[in-house]
Amino acid sequence: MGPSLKMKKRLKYAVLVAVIASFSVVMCNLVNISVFQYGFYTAKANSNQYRPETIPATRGSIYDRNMQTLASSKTAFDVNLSPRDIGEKDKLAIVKGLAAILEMDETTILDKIDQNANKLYVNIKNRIEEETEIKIRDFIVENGYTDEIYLTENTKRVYPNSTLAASVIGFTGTDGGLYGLELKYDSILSGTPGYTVSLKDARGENMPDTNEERYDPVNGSSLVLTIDETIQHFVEKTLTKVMAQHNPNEGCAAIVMDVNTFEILAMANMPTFDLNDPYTIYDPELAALVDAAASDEERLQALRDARGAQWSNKCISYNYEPGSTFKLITASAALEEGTSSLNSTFHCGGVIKVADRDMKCHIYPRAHGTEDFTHAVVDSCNPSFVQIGANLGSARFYKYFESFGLTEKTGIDLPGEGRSLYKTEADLKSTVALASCSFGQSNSITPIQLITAVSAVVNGGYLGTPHVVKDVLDDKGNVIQSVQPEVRHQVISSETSAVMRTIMETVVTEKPTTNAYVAGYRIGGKSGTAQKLFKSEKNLYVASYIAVAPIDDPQIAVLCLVDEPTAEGQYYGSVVAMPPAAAILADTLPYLGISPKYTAEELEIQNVTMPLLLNMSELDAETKLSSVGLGKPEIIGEGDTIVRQVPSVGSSIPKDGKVYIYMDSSESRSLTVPDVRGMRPSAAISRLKGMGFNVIVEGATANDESSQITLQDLPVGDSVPVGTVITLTSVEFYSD
Amino acid sequence: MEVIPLGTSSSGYDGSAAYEYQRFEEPEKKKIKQVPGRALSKGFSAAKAVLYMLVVVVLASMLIYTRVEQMVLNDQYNTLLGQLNEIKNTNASLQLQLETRLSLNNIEAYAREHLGMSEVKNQQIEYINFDTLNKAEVIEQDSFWEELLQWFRSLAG
Repeated sequence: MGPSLKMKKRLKYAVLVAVIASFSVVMCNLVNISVFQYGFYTAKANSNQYRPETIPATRGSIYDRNMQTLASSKTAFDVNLSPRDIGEKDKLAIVKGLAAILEMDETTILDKIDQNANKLYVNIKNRIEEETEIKIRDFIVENGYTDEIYLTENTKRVYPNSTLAASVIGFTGTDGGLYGLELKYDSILSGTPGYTVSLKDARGENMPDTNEERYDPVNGSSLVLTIDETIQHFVEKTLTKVMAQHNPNEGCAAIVMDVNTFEILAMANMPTFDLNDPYTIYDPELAALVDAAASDEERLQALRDARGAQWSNKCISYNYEPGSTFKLITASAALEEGTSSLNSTFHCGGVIKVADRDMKCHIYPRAHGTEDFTHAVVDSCNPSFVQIGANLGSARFYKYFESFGLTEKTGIDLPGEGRSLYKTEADLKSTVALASCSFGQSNSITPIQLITAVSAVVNGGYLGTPHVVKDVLDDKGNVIQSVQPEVRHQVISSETSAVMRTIMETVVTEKPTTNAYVAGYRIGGKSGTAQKLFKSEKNLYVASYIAVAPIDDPQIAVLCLVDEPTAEGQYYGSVVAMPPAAAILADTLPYLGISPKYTAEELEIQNVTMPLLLNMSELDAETKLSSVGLGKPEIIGEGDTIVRQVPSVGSSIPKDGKVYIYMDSSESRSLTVPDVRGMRPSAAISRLKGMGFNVIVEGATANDESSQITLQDLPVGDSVPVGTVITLTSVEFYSD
Repeated sequence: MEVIPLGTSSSGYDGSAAYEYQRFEEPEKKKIKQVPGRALSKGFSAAKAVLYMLVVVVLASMLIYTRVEQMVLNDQYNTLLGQLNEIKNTNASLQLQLETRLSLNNIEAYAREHLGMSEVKNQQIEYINFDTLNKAEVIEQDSFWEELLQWFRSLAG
């Protein structure tokens, strides 16, 4: 007998009650969760699903004036661990693996894991290189450490030219610009990061068809500089040679500036550093000083000092006594005020008494005698300038010192510009102070102040604000801001400026061997040598040279500064700072499209380029050599055609040089390169020519008595074929 | 005398069954009220039920399928976007590498050490001066008929 109807009915009701009861519970819970505790659970769901994310803004790039990249950002990755997910059995393997790939200490990584055992995130290393990133990814995939190790995207600043314009461009840290333009224009370069809040699925991907709140990032703007990468390269290459030749204790610096627009075309400092690794000491001598430190404390201090030395931008932050280069300012002021004229004469007895002080001329005990205004500048005569300054008077002297911008910063758009230290108008009431200031001692100014002031001397009298940034671009490359030349005021008249240009040219043409003479170009210049009186060590000098070209239509000014040159007996501006200034001009002027105009005399003494003579007959070779201005060659061996020539094709050879041609494979006579450094030019030329060399001498030869060979391009002791061209550098020891 | 109504079991005068008329009456048939729609109609078949269920299943499947497809496409989109970003980053990185290798110092060093080149001397540069300044000549474009004529000519060879 089965269940009765009643029983079935009872069961039905019981099940119904149970269903209703459980359904009620569920409904009550649902109502409770979705109505009464709506806020609580919504917040919890949002915190789980809605992921706020910062969208980093891309930092702007830095370009030179021709849009060559000087600084840019690229994607890099940070290596992170999730210690909570690292099991004991995997810990050691992970530590060993990462330490090997990242070249880190195993203990460091292990400590980080242990100290953050419950955390999901701990950073191990930032901004790893691509090769390292690939190795890390392979390591993760091969060992299945996808939960334990992960990479997060970051950016890394890259400087493709490493050391080029290092002190101008600067570098960044974790929070933005730390130095140079990266610091000065940090807010423009950084941009503004964006923000997004969206629903994420379990894999962290955006869920489709869901709302996303997004605030787009504003990428950083880019800078186009006035710096020309090529001119900067010329300058840095030249300064590297200066460091090698003169080994200055405090380095050297150079500026190239457009005198009309006040744009800085190049600005360099040595020692320099690699922008991609700014904390490492780049200069071997500086690094050696750090390594030589005895204790940890000394080492730390030495490291700080070395970093300070390599990071410092001497061109804007260093003040120094300009010496005779300042005479251009005094002369301009005197001419403008009319207290002196071109017809004024001054007497130099070798020494001049001012109050109770004897002020000597640099050629003392010799004397210049009577000098006109132009020759007072050409000869850089201190007693003459004492008289020029005295005629000008303290009030007018100070007025022009101020008007040339030497009492205030230039306003250049670089951080860390230094201030000048100068005698006030009251101080100048002392005749001794006025006298020493007149010829460039006692006042200390920065290189950027000097080159800006000299630009005003030659450009018609206009004092401007130098700048290194030309344009600001948005992230699409549109120009959003352009820097126009800013003229502060006119200091001297255009007539006075024209007279000063003539005087500066006379300085170079009358003394080409001690000034920045470059064949084919009209150049004006002035050297300066200042003793560093504030230092306890004696005989420490700052050598400088300022040049302007073309002087008949000035375009650029070049200032070179060598601080404490140590090469024996070589510290004058005309010896140490002038040759690099001339070299920079020789490279830069043709690059700027300013073609040389050679005089007949210059054409006469110009070297010629060796033509190709191989496979020619003897007669054809003679004809060819004659056509380029060379004499008859020396024939060696027998044959129909030339198999070898010395000098080789393309090399420079003086017009009176000897060419050697080989008609067969006869062995050439070898010469051993002698050491002619320290010899007078005539003696060196005579010795080398006698041996069979072809000799080219660059630099001073006119006054053989006071010149000597300082450099030879062929190493002493090398064996070379007869007829090889050897280039000598001669320097005249002429003080300024 | 007690009256016993007819139809009761003991409704016979003397109690005999002959007077129990209800025995001989047919029981009343209960009237079953037909409620419209409740009872299965005659025409309803299992096939139709299956069909309806199938339609529901298909619709539900389509809905789920579109959602799944959407998720898959979204996944593909995110993957491709990630790949695009990766390629862009790689491109930028390679561009920077190229610029590093093409720095002036590297070029000069390579020219000097590998190609045996030396710096050009100023006297090796020959400057050519022109008497006239730069000139530009505007080339007149042929008219339509001239172009047409030229085309026919080219066909003719």
